[in-house]
Amino acid sequence: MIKLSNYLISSLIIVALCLCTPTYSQDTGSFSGGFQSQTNFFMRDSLIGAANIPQYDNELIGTQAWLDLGYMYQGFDIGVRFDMFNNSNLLDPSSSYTDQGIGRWHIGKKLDKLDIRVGHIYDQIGSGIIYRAYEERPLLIDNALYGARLIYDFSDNWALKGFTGRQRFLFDAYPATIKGGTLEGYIDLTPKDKENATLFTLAPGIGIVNRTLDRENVDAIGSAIRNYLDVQRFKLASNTFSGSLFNTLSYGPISLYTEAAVKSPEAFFDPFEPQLRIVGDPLEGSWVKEMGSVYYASLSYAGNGFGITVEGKRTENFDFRADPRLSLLRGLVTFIPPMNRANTYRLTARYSPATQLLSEQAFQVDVRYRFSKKLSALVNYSNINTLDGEKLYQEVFTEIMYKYKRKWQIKGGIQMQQYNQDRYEIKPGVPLVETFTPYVDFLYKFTRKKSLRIESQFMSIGEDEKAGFKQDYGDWFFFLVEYAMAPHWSFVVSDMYNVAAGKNTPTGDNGEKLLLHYPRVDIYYTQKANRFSLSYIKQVEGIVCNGGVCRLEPAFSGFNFSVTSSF
Amino acid sequence: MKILYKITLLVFIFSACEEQMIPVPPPPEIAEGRVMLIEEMTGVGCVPCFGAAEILESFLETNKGSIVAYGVHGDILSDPVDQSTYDFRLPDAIDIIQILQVTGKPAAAFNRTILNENTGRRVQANPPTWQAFVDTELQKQQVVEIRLLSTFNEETRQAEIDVSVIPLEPISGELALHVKISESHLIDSQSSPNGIVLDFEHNHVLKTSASASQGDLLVTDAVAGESYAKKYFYSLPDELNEEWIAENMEIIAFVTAKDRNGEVQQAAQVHMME
Repeated sequence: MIKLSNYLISSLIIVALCLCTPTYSQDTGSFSGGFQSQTNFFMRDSLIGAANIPQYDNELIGTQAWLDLGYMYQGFDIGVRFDMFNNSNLLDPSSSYTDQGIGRWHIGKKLDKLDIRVGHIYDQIGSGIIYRAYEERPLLIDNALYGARLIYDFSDNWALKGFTGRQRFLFDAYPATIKGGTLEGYIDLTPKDKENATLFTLAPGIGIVNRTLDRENVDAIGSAIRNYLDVQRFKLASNTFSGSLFNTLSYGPISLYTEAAVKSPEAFFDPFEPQLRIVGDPLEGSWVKEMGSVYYASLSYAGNGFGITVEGKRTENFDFRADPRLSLLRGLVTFIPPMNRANTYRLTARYSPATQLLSEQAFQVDVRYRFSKKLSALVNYSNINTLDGEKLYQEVFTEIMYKYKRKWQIKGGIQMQQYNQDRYEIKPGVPLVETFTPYVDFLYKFTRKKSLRIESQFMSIGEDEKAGFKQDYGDWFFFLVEYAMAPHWSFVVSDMYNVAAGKNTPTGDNGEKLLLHYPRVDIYYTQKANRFSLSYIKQVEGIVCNGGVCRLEPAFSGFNFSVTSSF
Repeated sequence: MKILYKITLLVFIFSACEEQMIPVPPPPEIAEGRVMLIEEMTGVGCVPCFGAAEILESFLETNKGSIVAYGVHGDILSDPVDQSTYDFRLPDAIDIIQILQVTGKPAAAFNRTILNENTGRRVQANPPTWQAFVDTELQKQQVVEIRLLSTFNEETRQAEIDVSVIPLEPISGELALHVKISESHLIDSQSSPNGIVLDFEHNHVLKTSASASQGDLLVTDAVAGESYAKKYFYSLPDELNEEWIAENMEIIAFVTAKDRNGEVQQAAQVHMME
């Protein structure tokens, strides 16, 4: 039904766009859009685990594509997006998904101080802890609110916002309704009577979100706890409220963001709570009903070539979703900021911690210093534990960069990690993964248009004494060469080689560990606003993260063809 | 003072809207004669499957006679561990993994009902959510009766399996009959949150199919009250390493209706050697 109405509304939008444009030829507004598609050609390789999903066994090709269209005219903001998934592995890397239709549409209009918007709406409150509706295409997260939103600017510096709707999921929406609102402002406390006074401002805000579950959902949770002993049973509620107070204080080069968020008691599944059942022995994991809270602060300073950011966070029972029965990346209403560095190199990004929603205590320090125009350095330290003190993640990352005129530059450093694979990847009994990864990145510009980039990393991994091997897949070596011919061509060749076997390194027929190469070749061609890429990829399984939201991606073997266009 | 007033007003509004709590619902009324099928996707290397197996056993215990189940190991997270005696990566189980498009474990299919219209998904991960699907299926009216009989010849180790299917209402389209063989009380290794459990009791392990994996066509456009019968013969392999023990073998029969999304209409189970 929702899908049908989507078609109807989007058809009306498109017809309206076509009709109104010639009528107002003096002011035709602005029209924009973008297209993105990715096609995977799957080549079965059971040795690395790229097998046993429909794409490798039967379908062989999978595609996903999006076309965005937006039109702005006399205060109207109209948009529609076509989504297509054709034997796609993006929704679940281990399965195939096929569907197509209008993935998103919206109509907005600014009427003096009132901003009206209906359709699929992206938004967030504060840093997103109590509410964030956003799109993260690489993980197929698109949890836009399918509903209506009003923003009223009752002064230049203060605005009141209210919204209601349901959270989008693919071409439908979860049944729970979500309502919320914020009051956000801006206060300038800079002394007006002094010349060259240091800028001193506050940006405070308060937000509230309410989620109402449908009765079927409530009863479904009730049916699960029906099997619990009385001591563990609890009464159910349809409504959950969360509230947040946040503020950004800026004083000259110093900026302090603070946010405190609480959530009313709601039912959620705690995988570590013992479940006491009427029938059978206790199990690990139980539905519980608890309050939730998140406290987050970020202090930063930047000036005279020196920059420092210190962040801290405490999370307790804040698994806030459109449906408490959902797990992993599905149905998240909350977005809790990650507390580790977003690494980009292949090996330094191999072990990334997913933000923990039930129990996490973390801090991060990032220090940068520019010694001269040529030389700069950074050190980043992050530490994440559970509230009980169990070590989840620790990272030390260093980098030194030297630039020689505009001719060449070199970057290098060391990363050291401790990663709780038991907790993040549910691999019980495995020791904390310990890594030591030196890396180097060298860029040489032959001319203004032609350049060569070489990147290399070596990851040394600790011993798993119980298994008698190195931890996980063992040691890795990565090497990449990129030759760019601006503005059209770029060629990249890389290889990730399993130098020393680990516990999970594939085993051959003779029982010996196989030290495999995972090569990748990319060709990119850019023609004005169009970019094409063709890649051959053999990729080991690993964690893929965007902003602390992560999932385990299985191994991949095959070709990928991508197109990105904007207009 | 104005701010204090506004906060008080907000508190008043929310306290006035206090919700009436919803008590835990009582167990559902099971429709008379209804027997449902649970296909549990499990694996020796699947850590949460340890707890999921316990949950399945509690369903069988609390709904005796109304649920039949088997565990599908197949080829995901099912590689034997170093301490394993048995290898449960059996071809018929792999077929079911593919038929139901299983991508992760633990997961379960409840009468193979479509659980998500968008994706066509028939299996549900996340065992803490399974009870609601069981409740829903058990409350549906019985539409088919299955009479299942096994006669086992201990000398030849052959089971003669007689299945009679009697629709209680007209069912259009093709009805398929599926007959599966499972084995219980297999003591072997299983991954658990506390490491490998060496003496885990694997129950209802799907060993093979007496019918085709996709089921055998029983009838097209079934008439209410008519009896549609099929006979199967199954030769049990010789006992080895306390496996293939006749007393531990179970026979499961179920009927799927093509025009009803291929969902299971009714299931039945007997021991191979009664």
